[in-house]
Amino acid sequence: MSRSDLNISRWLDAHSDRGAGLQVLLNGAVLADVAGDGDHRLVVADVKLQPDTRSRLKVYRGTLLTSDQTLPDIPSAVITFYPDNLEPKVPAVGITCGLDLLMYKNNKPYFKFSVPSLPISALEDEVWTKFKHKNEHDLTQLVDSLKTVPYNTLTSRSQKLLLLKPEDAADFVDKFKDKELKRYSPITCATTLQRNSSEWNSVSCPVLATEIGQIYILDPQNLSILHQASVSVSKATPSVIRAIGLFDVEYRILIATREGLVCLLRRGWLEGRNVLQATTYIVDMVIMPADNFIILATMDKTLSCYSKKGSKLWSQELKQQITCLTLVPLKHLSMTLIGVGMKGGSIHLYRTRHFVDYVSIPDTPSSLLFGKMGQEDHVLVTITTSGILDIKILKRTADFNLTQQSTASNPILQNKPLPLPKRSKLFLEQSARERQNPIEMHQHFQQDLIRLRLNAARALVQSQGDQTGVGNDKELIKLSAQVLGLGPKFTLILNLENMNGDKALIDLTMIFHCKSSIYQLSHYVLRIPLVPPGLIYKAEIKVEDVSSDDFQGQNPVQSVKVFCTRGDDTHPILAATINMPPTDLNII
Amino acid sequence: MDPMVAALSNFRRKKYDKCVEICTQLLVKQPLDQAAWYLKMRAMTKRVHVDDIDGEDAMTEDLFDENAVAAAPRPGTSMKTTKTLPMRPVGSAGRPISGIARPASSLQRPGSSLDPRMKTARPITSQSARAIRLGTAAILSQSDGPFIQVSRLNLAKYARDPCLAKPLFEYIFYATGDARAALELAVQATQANEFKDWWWKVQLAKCYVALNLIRDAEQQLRSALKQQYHVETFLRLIRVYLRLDQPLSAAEVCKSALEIFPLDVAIFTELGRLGEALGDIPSSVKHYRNVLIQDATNAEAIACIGVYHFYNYQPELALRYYRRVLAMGAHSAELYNNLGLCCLYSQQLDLVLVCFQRALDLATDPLIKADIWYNLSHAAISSGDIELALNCLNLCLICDSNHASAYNNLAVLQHKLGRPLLAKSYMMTAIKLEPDMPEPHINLEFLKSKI
Repeated sequence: MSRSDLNISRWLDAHSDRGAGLQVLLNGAVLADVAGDGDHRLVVADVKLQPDTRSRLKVYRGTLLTSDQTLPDIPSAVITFYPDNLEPKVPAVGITCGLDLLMYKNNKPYFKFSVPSLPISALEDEVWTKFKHKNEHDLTQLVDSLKTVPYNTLTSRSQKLLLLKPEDAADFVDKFKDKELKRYSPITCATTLQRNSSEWNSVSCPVLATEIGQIYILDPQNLSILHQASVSVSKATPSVIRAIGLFDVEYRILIATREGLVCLLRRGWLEGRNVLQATTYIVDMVIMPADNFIILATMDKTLSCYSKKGSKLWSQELKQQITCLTLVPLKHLSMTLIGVGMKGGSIHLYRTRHFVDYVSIPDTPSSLLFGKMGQEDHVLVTITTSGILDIKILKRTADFNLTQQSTASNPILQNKPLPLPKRSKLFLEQSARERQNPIEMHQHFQQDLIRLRLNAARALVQSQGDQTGVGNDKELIKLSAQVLGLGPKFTLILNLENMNGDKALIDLTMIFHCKSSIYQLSHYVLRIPLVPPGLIYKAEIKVEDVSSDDFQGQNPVQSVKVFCTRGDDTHPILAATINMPPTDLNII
Repeated sequence: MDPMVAALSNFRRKKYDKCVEICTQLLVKQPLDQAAWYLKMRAMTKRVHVDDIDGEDAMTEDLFDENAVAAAPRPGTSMKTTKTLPMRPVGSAGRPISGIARPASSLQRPGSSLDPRMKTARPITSQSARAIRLGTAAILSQSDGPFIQVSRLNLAKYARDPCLAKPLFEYIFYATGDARAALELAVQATQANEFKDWWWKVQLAKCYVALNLIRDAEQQLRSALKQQYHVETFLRLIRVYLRLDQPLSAAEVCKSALEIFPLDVAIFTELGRLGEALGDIPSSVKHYRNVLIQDATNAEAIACIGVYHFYNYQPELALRYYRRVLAMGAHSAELYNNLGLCCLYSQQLDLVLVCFQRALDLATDPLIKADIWYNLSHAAISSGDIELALNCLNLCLICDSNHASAYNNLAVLQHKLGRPLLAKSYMMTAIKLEPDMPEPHINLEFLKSKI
């Protein structure tokens, strides 16, 4: 990162609107030529969750807000697609709100698709018919019979009924019993799939995914269902959906679910197949266009890459929590970068696993977009959690040439083998010796090992006997010492560490021994206060060299002995010898 | 026999104490006997003489260094900032440890981690002039007071005497260790010789180096080289550049010296050491191989090439070199330690522990002992015996309580045994002891992310 700190930024700050007040969910904004005049605009589904406000659909032309309409419900995703090949080509904007996909063209609503209702269990149907005809005396009994139906196959009306208190249940039933019973599953995410041509402005189909895991591929012209499939055999709630390929030829739809699964749906399949299972929750997912690799951002601050078959290729742990991803396709450089928005307001750009650049913005991004805006081809639009709209333009001269800064920052995984030298003739000879008498060698080694164990144990016992050493394994305390000064006055700093995780050290005394003809200490006995678990007690002792010169000449190295004792026990639990440096008056 | 002849004979047979004794008797009889005075002086000089080209560097070098060097030199031009070699263990001073303990590097703590070390076979006299000057001048005191009262000598008179000046200088420089007086004598003698004697210029440089006037020494040595090419002068000039932390200039001097004295072992050795200090191991090994072509028993070269092979993943070749050192008659704890390590890594398992046991038996220095126990812990880990490895590491710490690598490995083993708190505490200790070592930092981070 330091290298790019020094470099001039590759980005121009085009616009930053701190008062935009936009609340955007992941994939809740899109860049599209909505007027058909070649001037690409930013379409944002502004989510308002407060009870007295309505969510809005906003369109920005450049930095100006040109259109602002209210939405009937809370939007979950925004897509844009070309519904037909008629000239002039004007794309439609699709907004998923609850059960509906609302289509807008030229900023005007013109079509709506509702998700078909789901089958209702016979028992539930029967119960509600009974509600309609009978009186309330057997209400509790009927409600209890509803409980035998699996909760997630009930309609939302019955689900609510089960959650109500018994006294409120009668009112609720009265209110709704005459209406038709329907079971719906709201749309959670949506994407588009090109129909028969991979041109950027060719006809494409909206793909919707619902809460219970149904996928609908719609005809863009009349919004009829072209294909319907379920995400997975097991329970899976789609959260991110991405599609590649062509509907008429071959396509793959990848669905990341809230359960941490990534499922794959291909042409003709009625049921998706699990490709991989992430260890934690998936934040966002993108598909690399060239090689169809799956890039996953997960809650454990990790960016990982999987092959299209689901085997892990690499993963990279980042410093911050990832909030959103985007693809940054740079056609003129023939590369695609991954834009990673992170908590705290930094956006990192990765080329495969290699960090190439970063952009900082004032706040945590909630949605990242990269594409054409206005007349500019490479624009990075960021909408942050606090509602800031930030637009940056990539300089045309920017290159993400990796040659000079390439892998220096990431030496973690080595694909290249280590540069090992060739096997020498000597090695072959030695291995031949090994092959000739393996049994003797092994026996010899084992014997030696046993002998070593004995020797090591003996040496340890000996050191335990005279209590030399820095720590006491049984008591889990450790003593380290540091001598400061050139002499004749020294300061001795002792650190007594309690390595025990759950017991405090109490009732310890430190005793110092030295030759009184050589050293004079400020303390000879130190009472050590309670040392809490895992902490260090620091003691400072002043030592003065009082020896005469000729004496010192003969004994250049002198020592001070430290003993730690517990209570009135005469046997020390720890003893150490501290070698004092010779006082060298000549130096001073 | 004439006592003078006896004294001379003793001098030639290197029985300097006896020679000094006879000369003292002669001088008692005839205090102004110049021959006896001269011989006594020579004998006393020889008694403490040391090959000071490889002498100890001044201990105060870093503390009181007046020769300011650029704080941020360009890469490759300084030895202080040289990146340490990957894979090789680094001493606590931050300098990579080579295969050989050189006299000049004895101040640093010998060894850490996987450290096959060899003490040099080069003879080092135990006391050098510097050491005498610092503290133990009492050793030299004679029963009847000092032999020559340097401060009372008329140095100008002796400087003019070509026969006496040189031995007197050597006596003052080596035996009394008084570099200032020696410098005065050398200055006057140079003047007396009208600046034409290269020998005196080299001596002047020696005094300047002793007095830490490095730039003056460089000047004198350059001027001496203009008059006479001499290997010693070249070596001293190389040393001067090393003191000034200018390894590239030192390498230049080596190259020009090789043009005049091709195939000189001492200069090749210098080049080898330089390459090592600059982290350019291939060139270092090339120069050491040149040394071995000339002198097949050069222990330093054999050991350094052995180390190169060891860290180049060819322990079997390293083993061959160390066996050669063994065959040459060296017999030390370090050597057996290295042999043990080489055997371990080249899978000659039956010899591993025998070698280490010998090393342990021979080791007296607790630091060396600590390293051997540390290496034994590796042997224990590779045989899968964690308990034994823990014991070995504990023994290593008993011998040397500042062994950061041992603390780190102990922490890893404790973590493996499911005691993360203890592991954490050991890692903190390792970091405190050697803040530059990367392993405990990484391990601690890993541990923190786990907890």
